[in-house]
Amino acid sequence: MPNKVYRKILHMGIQNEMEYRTNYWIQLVSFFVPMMTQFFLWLAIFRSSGQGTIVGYTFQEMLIYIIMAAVTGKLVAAGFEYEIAGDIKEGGLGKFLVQPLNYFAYRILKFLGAKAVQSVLVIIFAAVVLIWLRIGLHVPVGWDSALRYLIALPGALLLNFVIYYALSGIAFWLTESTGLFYTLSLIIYIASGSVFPLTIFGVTIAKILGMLPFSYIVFFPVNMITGKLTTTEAITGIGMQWLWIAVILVVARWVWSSGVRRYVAVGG
Amino acid sequence: MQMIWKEAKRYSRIYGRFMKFSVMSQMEYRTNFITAFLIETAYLLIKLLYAILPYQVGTDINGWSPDAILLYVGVFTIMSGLYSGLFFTNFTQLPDKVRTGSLDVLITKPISLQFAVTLRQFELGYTIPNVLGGSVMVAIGWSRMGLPVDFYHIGGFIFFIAIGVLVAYSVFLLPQLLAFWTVQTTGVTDMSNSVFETNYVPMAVYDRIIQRLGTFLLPVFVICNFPPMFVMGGLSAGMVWWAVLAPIWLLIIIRVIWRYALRHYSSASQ
Amino acid sequence: MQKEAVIDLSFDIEEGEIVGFLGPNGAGKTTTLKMLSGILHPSDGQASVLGYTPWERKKEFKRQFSIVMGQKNQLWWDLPASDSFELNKLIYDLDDTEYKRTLDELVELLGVSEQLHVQVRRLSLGERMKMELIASLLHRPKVILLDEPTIGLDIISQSKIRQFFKTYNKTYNTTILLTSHYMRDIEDLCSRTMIINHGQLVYDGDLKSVNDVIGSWKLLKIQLSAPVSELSLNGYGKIRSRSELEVVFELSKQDVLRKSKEILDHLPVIDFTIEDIPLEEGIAILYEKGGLPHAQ
Repeated sequence: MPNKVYRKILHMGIQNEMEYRTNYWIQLVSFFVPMMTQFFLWLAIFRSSGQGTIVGYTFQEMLIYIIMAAVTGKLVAAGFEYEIAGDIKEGGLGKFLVQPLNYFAYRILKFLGAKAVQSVLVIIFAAVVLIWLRIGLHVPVGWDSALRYLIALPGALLLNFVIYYALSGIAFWLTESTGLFYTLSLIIYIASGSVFPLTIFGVTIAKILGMLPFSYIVFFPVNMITGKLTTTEAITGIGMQWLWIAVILVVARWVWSSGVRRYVAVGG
Repeated sequence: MQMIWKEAKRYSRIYGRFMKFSVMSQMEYRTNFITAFLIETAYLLIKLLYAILPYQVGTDINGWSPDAILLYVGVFTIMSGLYSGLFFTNFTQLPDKVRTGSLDVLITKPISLQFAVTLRQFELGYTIPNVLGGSVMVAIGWSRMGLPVDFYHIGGFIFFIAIGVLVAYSVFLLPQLLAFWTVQTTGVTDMSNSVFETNYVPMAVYDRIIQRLGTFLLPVFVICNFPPMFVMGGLSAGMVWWAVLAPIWLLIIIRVIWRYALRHYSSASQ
Repeated sequence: MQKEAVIDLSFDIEEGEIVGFLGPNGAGKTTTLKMLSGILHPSDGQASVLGYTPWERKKEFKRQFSIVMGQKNQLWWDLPASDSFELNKLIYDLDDTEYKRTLDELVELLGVSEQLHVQVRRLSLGERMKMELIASLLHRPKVILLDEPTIGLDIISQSKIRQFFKTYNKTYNTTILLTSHYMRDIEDLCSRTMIINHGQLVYDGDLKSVNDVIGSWKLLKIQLSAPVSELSLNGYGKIRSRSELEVVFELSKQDVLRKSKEILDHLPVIDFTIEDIPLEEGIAILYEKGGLPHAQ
C-alpha cells in the first residue's frame, strides 16, 4: 500500500515538473528547428552552386544572418497588439482615459519591462553562439560589428513597438481584429527580412523593401553584425531607423486620437 | 467482405456529414472563416519565398532543380492545407475533450471513437488557399519540367499524396495522445508544428542521418517528399514499399495506444 | 490516491422498470451510470446489461441503449437539431421509414416541431434538453440511462420531461435508470428507488417508506421584517436554527400547512420557503432509525 502511495506522489511530481519544463524546452525546440532547416538549406545551396557569395552573402555571413535574424526577431517581438485589442473591445481602455496615466506610456513600459528579463537570456545565448562560431568555425565576428549591432538594437525594438502600437489602433474600427493582426505580422515578418535576407528578392524589390520601415527591424540590425555595411551606410541606417520611429509615432498618435474620439463617441 | 464494404460506405457517408456540418457551422461565423483564409494566405507567401529562392540563386540544390523545388513546395503547401484543414483542429481539441468529459457520450455510440473524435472538424478556411496555391505551384513545376501528363504519373502522385495524408495523421496524432495522461499539451502542438515545418525544404537538403531519422523513425519526410520524388522518377522500389508500410505500421501503433488509453480512461469528474 | 467512488454495489433491474438513483453529490450515482454504459472500466466486479458486459463496448450493445447526461451536449451547436438527428441516423444505421416514424413521434410527444430547424445555440435550455432526448432515443433503445436529465431546467420543462418519460415507458416498456437530486423527478417517475451514499447502496425499495422517513418532516424557512422575541416563536414546532431575521422550523408533514398558516399570520414574515430535509440528513436519519429494510 505505501508503495502505491509513493508511486503516485512520484508520478504527480513528474507530471507537475513536466508541465513547467516541457513548455520551456519546447519553446526552445520551436526556436531551433527552423534555424536548423535554414542552416541545411544554405549549406546545400552553397555546396551545390560552388559559388563563394550568394545573394550577396558568403556562407559564413549567411550563418550569422540566420542566427541573428532569429535572435533579433525574438528580441523585438511584440504580441501586445492582442491585449490592446482586448482593452479596446472589452472597455479596459476606459479607465486609462479618465486617469492621468498615459496608455502609450503604460504599454511601452510594460513592453520594455517584459523584454528586460527575456533579453538578457537571449543575448547571452547569441553571444555564446557567436563566440563558438568564431573559435570553432573561424567565422569572423568582430567586436566592432557586435557593438554596431547593439547600437542598432534599441531602434529596432522601438520601431517594432511603434509599428504594432499604431496597428493595434485598428481595433477601434474592427471588432474582430486578431486575425488581421496575425496576417499583418506575418507580412511584416517577411518584409523585415526574418525569413530570408531581403536581397533574395532581386535588386529592385530589395531596394523598395529597404525603404520601408520594416527592414530596419531585422534586416538592417543583422547586417550591422554580418559586416555588410560601410560606416556611412550604418550611420544612414540608424538615421533612417529613428526617422521612421518619428514618422510612425506621428501616425500612431493620429490613429489613436481619432480612435479614442470614436471610442468615446460610441461609448465604449 | 460485404460487411467491410457496407461499413466503409457508412463511414464515408458519416465523414461527408462531418465535412458538410463543419462548413455550415463555419458559415455561421464568417469573420473566423475570413480570418483563417487571410492567415493561410500570408503563410502561403512565406512558402512562396522558399519556391522563389532557388530561381534567384539560379542553381540546383542537392540535385533538385528550381522547377523541382517549386513542385516540391507546391506539395508541401497542399499538405499543410490538408493537415491543418482535416486534422489540426481535432488534434488540438483532444485534450479539451478529455478534460471536459465530452468524450463520455461519444464512447457510447456505435461508431469508432477515434474516427468520431479525430475527424469531426474540417476547416475549409485553412484548406482552400493552401490547396489552390499548392496545386498551381505543382502544375507550373510539372509542366516546366516537362513531366508526362498520364494516368501513371498523376495517379501515382495522388496515391503518394494520400499516403502523405495518412502519415501526417498518425505522426501528429501520436504526441497528442498524451492528452489522456496529462492535461497540458499546448507545448506538444507547438513542437509538432515545428517538426512539420522541417518540410519547408526537400529532405535531400538535410544531413544523411537526419534524412534517415525523418524517413524511418519519425517519418515526417514521407509526407511531402514521396509524391514529387515519384513523379521525377527518384523513388526506389524499396522506398515505394516503405511508403505503403509506414502508414499501416503507424496506424497500428496509434490504434494500440488509443485502445490502451481508452481502457484506462477515467472520465472527467462529474 | 485512487478514490473508490463505488464499492460493493449490487442490484438487479427488471425489464420495463423505472428505477431512481438517489444520493447526495459525489455519492457515486454518476460513476455507476458511467460503468453501466461502458464509459468507465471498474477495477473489479461484474455487470450485465441486456446480456452484455458494458465496458467491452460491443457495438450490438451500444445500439440498444442510450445515456443522456444533463450537462453534456452531443448536438452540433451551430446547426439545427434536425441535422444532428440525421447524423445519428447514419451512426445507428437506421432504416429510412423507421427513422422518420420515430422522429415524428418523438417530436410530437415533446412538442418541439417548431424548434426543429432552429440552430441549437438559439434554443432555450429546456428545448435543448428535449432535442438531446430525441437524439438519444432515435434508435429506440431498450435501456435508457439518465443522469440528471432535468438539471438547471425551469419547473415547466422539468414536469414536461417527466411526463414524457412516463408515457414513453408505458408505451414501449423501456427500462429506465435515472439519477437526480430533485426529489420530484424520483417521486413522479420511479416505482423503485435506490439510495447511494459514499458509494454504497443504503436502501433499495419503494419510495414510500423513504418518504415516510425523509418526507415526514419539512423545513419552513422564514424571513422576518423585524426581530421577534424568543417567546413568540414558541409553540409552532421545533426550531432548527435562528438568527436575528431568519428562522428555520422543522414541521411534520401533516402539520405543515396548518402551522405555516399560523406562523404567517402571527409573525412579521416577509418571505418564506418550504423545503425537504436535505438528502444527506435524510439518509443519516434512515441509518439512525435503522427500521428500514437494508439493501439486499
